[in-house]
Amino acid sequence: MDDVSRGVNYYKLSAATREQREGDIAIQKRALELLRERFGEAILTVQTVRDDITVTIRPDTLKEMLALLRDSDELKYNFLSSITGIDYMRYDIPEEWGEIRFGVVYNLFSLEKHANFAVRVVIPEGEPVPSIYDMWRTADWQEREAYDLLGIEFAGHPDLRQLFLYDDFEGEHPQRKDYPLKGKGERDRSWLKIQKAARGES
Amino acid sequence: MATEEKIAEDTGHRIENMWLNFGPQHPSAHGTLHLIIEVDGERIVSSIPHIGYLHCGFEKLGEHRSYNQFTAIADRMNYLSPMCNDIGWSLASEKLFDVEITERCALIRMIVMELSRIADHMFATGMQAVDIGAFTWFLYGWRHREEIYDILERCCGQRLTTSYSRIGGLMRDMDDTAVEMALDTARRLPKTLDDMEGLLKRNRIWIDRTCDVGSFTTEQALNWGYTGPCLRAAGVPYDVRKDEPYLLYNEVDFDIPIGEHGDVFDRWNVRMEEMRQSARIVQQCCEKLEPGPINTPDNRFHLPPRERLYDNIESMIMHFKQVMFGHGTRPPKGEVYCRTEAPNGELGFYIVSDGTDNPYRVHVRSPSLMQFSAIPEQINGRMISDVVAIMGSLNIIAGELDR
Repeated sequence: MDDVSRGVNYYKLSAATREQREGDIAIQKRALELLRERFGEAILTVQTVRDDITVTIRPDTLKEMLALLRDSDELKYNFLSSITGIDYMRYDIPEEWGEIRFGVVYNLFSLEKHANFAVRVVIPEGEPVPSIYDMWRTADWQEREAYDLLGIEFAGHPDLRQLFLYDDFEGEHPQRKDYPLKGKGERDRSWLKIQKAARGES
Repeated sequence: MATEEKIAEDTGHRIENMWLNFGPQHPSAHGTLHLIIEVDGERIVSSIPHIGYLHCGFEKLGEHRSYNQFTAIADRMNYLSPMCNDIGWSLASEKLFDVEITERCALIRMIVMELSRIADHMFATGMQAVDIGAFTWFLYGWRHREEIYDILERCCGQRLTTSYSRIGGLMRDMDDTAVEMALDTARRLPKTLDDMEGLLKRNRIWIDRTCDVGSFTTEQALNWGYTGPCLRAAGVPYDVRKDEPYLLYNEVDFDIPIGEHGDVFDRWNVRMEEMRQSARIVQQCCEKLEPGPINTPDNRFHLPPRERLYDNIESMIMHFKQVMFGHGTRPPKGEVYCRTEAPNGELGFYIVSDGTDNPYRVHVRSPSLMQFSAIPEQINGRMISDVVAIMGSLNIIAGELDR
């Protein structure tokens, strides 16, 4: 189209940024090497999207793996950015993951080496993930969030209760894929409850 | 303990600690934050934070909207600096789609982001002062805040719900008048900041209320996932603009202020200094700005020019494709995490894409959540009046906290 074929000036990453990105990728590759050495068979898949590596594992080696990433002098992934719970119910998952329902992704960042890394744990429904509350306290509320919205259990979490939803929001996890966007009428139910209580009925 | 037992024996009454509700309607509880605190006299023994009063299901909603539509939801999360959320979401989507943006677009984004950062910090420090009792102070900065909102209004027609950014570009160009206004504001800002600092920095009451209140060590701050000014006040020079540069932040000259004690005073101080640095960035970007296109030439991402719509079949098809549900642009399958430096910390978007035009899962890593989760650690053992000072210093946005 002639409108857009005028000279377009893309912004180019400056030399310093490019160097930093390359350093980041080198650290990620080194981390992957170290993980492969120690947990060779435990790693199910390794995915690379835009140079960011994500390693998928089962929950049993999670804590050892995160401890290795955190404590290794070469890597020093000392900052836990984010914990994301995902419901893979309608997702076309790789075969290697097996029969699973949920995934929990831990996004790490190394403040010293300026590098990313992500570890994904996959679990079938009902199986718990070990809590990393004792490694990073920031996991406290993020695990509670995943528990609240997706119903993922975290074994070893000292205070696993609802975070966002109110207390009598019973047994439902709205972030799950089989939960409709409009809800299942909980609001009507609680409104009826309030009305009944006001009238003095049980 | 012995005294308590003796009193209990003598009078037959037990002395118990009082449980107190702090919020959700307390004026200094910034929106809808709720703390239940156990107090012994005026000293806090333990505390339980409750959140969720503003839970809107933004993440669930994101699964049912297209990538460009979510921009409007993203900017409602942080109502003090919606630009930063917009652009953070666009950057995450661009990482997923693998789109490059033009230089002018990158510079304009940086200008509006830094202006929003100034407005946000102005509000955060101002409200912190108002909570403690220094009412006049924040009015000094209000003029610049109004100017900034005028600039944003000129850019996109809105002061608050901006929705300025699009995937691969912007909603519309920033005109020369707006650039001049931004430059003018950035030039006059440091003088105002000096005046404002002069009012508080050596004020006896201010120092008594803020110094050594809510101190956090470096280890504590990292452990609790603090980011932004609160982490930098504790002495960690972590700023996403430097550590994982996006846009053109590596080509502009700015410094990262850090504090020493991680207390309320340091957080205030870091924010004041950051406003100066943001003004520097705005000036440099305005000077670098050259005329050119703002959208990527890849026409899958933006609506075709209106005048092409009537005489060009491709433009018409592209227009329908863009606006019809289920026909939008499809990203490759995959998962990306993209972090940006929002005014109150690291704002991250985690997107899971299944190859359709709606995201499969959107997760927002909001800085407020981590900062509020550490509240018991900070206030236990302190006085009730310190709660107000500490909560004000964290710059918690309830919309982003509860999502």
